[in-house]
Amino acid sequence: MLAALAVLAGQDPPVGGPLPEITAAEFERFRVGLEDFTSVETVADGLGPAFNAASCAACHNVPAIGGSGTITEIRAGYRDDDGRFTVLGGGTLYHLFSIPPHNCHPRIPAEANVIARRISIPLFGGGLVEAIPDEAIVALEDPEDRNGDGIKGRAARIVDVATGRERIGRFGWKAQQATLLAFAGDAYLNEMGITNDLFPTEAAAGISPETLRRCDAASDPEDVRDRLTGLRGIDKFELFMKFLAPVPRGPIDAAVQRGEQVFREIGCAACHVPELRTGPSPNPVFDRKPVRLYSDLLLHDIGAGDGIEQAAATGDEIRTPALWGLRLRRPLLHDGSAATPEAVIRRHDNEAARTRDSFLALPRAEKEVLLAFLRSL
Amino acid sequence: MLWLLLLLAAAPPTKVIHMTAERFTFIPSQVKVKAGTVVEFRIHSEDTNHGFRIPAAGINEVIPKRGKGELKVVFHADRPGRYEFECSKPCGAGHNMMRGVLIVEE
Amino acid sequence: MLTMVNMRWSLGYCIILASILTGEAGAAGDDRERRIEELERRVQQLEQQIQQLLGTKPGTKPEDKPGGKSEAYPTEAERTPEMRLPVSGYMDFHFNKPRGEPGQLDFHRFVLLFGHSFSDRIKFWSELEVEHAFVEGREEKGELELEQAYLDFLVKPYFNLRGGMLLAPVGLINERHEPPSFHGVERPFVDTVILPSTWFDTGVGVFGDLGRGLVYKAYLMSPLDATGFSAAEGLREGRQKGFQSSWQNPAQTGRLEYHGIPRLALGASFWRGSTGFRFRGVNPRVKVFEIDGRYRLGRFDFRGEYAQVAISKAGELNLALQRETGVSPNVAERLRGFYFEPAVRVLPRRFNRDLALFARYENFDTQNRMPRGFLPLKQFDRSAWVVGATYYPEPDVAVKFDYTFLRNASSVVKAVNSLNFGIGWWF
Repeated sequence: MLAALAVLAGQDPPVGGPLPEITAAEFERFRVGLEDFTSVETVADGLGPAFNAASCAACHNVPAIGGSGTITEIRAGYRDDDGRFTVLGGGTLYHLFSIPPHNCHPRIPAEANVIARRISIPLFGGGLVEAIPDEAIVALEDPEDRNGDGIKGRAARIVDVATGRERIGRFGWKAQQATLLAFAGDAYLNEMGITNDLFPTEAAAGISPETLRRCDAASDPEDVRDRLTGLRGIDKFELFMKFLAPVPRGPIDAAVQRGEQVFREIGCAACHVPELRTGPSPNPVFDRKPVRLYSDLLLHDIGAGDGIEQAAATGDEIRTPALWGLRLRRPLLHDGSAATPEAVIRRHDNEAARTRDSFLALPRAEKEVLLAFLRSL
Repeated sequence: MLWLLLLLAAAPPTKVIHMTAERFTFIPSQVKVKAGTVVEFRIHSEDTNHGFRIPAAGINEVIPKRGKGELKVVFHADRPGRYEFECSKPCGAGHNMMRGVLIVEE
Repeated sequence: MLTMVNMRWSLGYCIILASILTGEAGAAGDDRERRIEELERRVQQLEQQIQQLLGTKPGTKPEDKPGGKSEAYPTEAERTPEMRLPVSGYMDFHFNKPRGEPGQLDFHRFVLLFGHSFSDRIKFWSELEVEHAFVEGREEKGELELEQAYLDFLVKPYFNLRGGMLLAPVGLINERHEPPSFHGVERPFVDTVILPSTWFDTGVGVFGDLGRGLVYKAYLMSPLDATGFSAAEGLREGRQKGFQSSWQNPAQTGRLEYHGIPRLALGASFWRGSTGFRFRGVNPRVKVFEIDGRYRLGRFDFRGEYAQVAISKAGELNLALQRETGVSPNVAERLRGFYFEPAVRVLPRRFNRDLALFARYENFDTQNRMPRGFLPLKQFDRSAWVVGATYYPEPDVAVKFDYTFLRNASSVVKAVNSLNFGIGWWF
């Protein structure tokens, strides 16, 4: 499988570059962001006391910087018999590492009965996704299943931390953030323990606030403006993700085209919507552009939920993953437990049960072209 | 008056060669004189002290550093031939290239 | 010494004078011939006696005082015993303070040079450098490098052979980087990011003096490694530095210097090589071209250099590295830089010490032209004014000071000025 991927990658244009039509000044900002994305934070920078990695790129690097990864992080909580979820220990994200001498290492409470794993979500095409208007996403939702197709996609209504406004979330496995800046700030604190203007308070699940204060004496916010550019860390990450190009399509042949037809016919495209459009923008790079991400960005229950309630999503819901770049990502599913797209399809249930059954009922040739189509994404 | 003329005729011709030594060359690096000339080298350095060595003549002197004076070496070019000279005090990366030749012609 | 010489000639004159005065007036020409021959023989005898009296052998230790002596010389070159050259070295020690950042104290270089003359024709020369950064508040490793180690076989003035670890003969600074040789605490930017000084690697070559002030060097050297090229520093990290260097496709390099016009020194160099030996399908060819000049006029010294680097297939290189490492280095197709530096020595000649004031204007762009489909990073389109002074308490010791005004063409990243002090010496 890896060999096949390598061959395909060799034929593809490389991934991880910026959007093609940006200006030189935007390119510079992209590179400034890329540099900070890969730079390793230290305790002096505010890392910790508990963290999942010391740089963004440590987890977001497959097949290129800004991608997915193989490192999984842990979330935990408590879910009672009625399905009500309780956050224990101050949060659901329990960090993997702590700074020496490790007296601030998170402990998952014994009462936790939900443990979930998550791999890093790919960030390619972040700017295009950010530019999709809220209305476009809301227009796709159907929480009461009015059209009776069994699909009940729900827009993630969240409050954007930067503006205080109600927005439709789209970033993260549970669509917990609507803007790249908030997404960056959220990750900076929650993955690396670095407080910033949007998330100014040190917080870590499984560590009491008093213990945290003892272990992390750095004054908050720890993210400061860089002297040479005037930008904060979260600004640079935003610029990187904003101008990061989506993964281009792989080679398309007759089998792939036929496979796309099958994809629509059996109903995959109902949630994995092939194309959305960005809204009007003063920047020509984002002005009414097609975004071929194969996702409706809505929350669905397909029986693969990790049981963790987060932002606007219940424990059972997960945001439709975008399929662009699928061929360059392994492992699959939010918890990295699936090895192949076929295995993922078999795991679809609840809202997607009908479509899964249609897939399993397909004649072999049709299954092959559908998988060929998925291999081209 | 005859003895004066003879005196003058017997006096050997002297040639003064002003030379600059600098990293990593002698300027000039090629000197041509006629056999029988008394060559007086007056060498000054533009930087560090260099060496001036004519192996065939057994001459090996140090050229003082910039501003510290001039090296005067007298050489009797009686026999024709090629007398190579070189810098004999390490002066840097190009030290081995700092060479020249004194050509004594018939 | 001088008196000896005078004595000899005085003696000679006296003999001739005496002979003429006491000789018979109107003697036959033959008679005079015979007498002159007799005199020549006697002068030769006297020479030998004086030689014995002086009792010196060729190849004595050099003495540090002006004036010289010359001796009677043998007909063929004497065989010189194996002569050990003394150890030389240079060191420098810097204080750098970029604006808005804490200052940094750094014993930048500690270099020892060893040479050995096996004979007049075979010589060995080496340069061992210890770069140990002694830094406040930051982690940095030192470096130990063998910068030069080569054997010279001297054949003819116009043709000689050299082999070993060589300095690339490109640019002014690469071969002339002893601290008192240049102004400014750090080396010129052009000689850092356009020409990656100090550039050295294994190689073989020829060199010589063509006469009329023309001196040449032509080498085959290990090439640069394209996986190290970058947007900010160009070829710099591509130097293999002789660490098990790859010798597929050795690079060709050469330099021509002209010293024929008084007080003017001109140079031109080139370097050409294939650098893609670590890749399977991409082979960027690098061409470096450089010209420089130095001119002295009284108290003034002028120095200038222009350098240009062309990297073919830079676009493919960027894509290949992006596939391998996930990040495109954004290497340019062309890098370009030049500088001009006037300097003036202000203390009168009679002072033992010297003080030079200088100002250098540099313009250097490591993203001068980009391959199609790539955008330049304007923060690397830079210019600088380096203004300062060098004080020489002794010609081989330089106390340096400069203020560097740095500018770039970026609207995103600011360039930072810095204040620099340094002490460097050579022995």
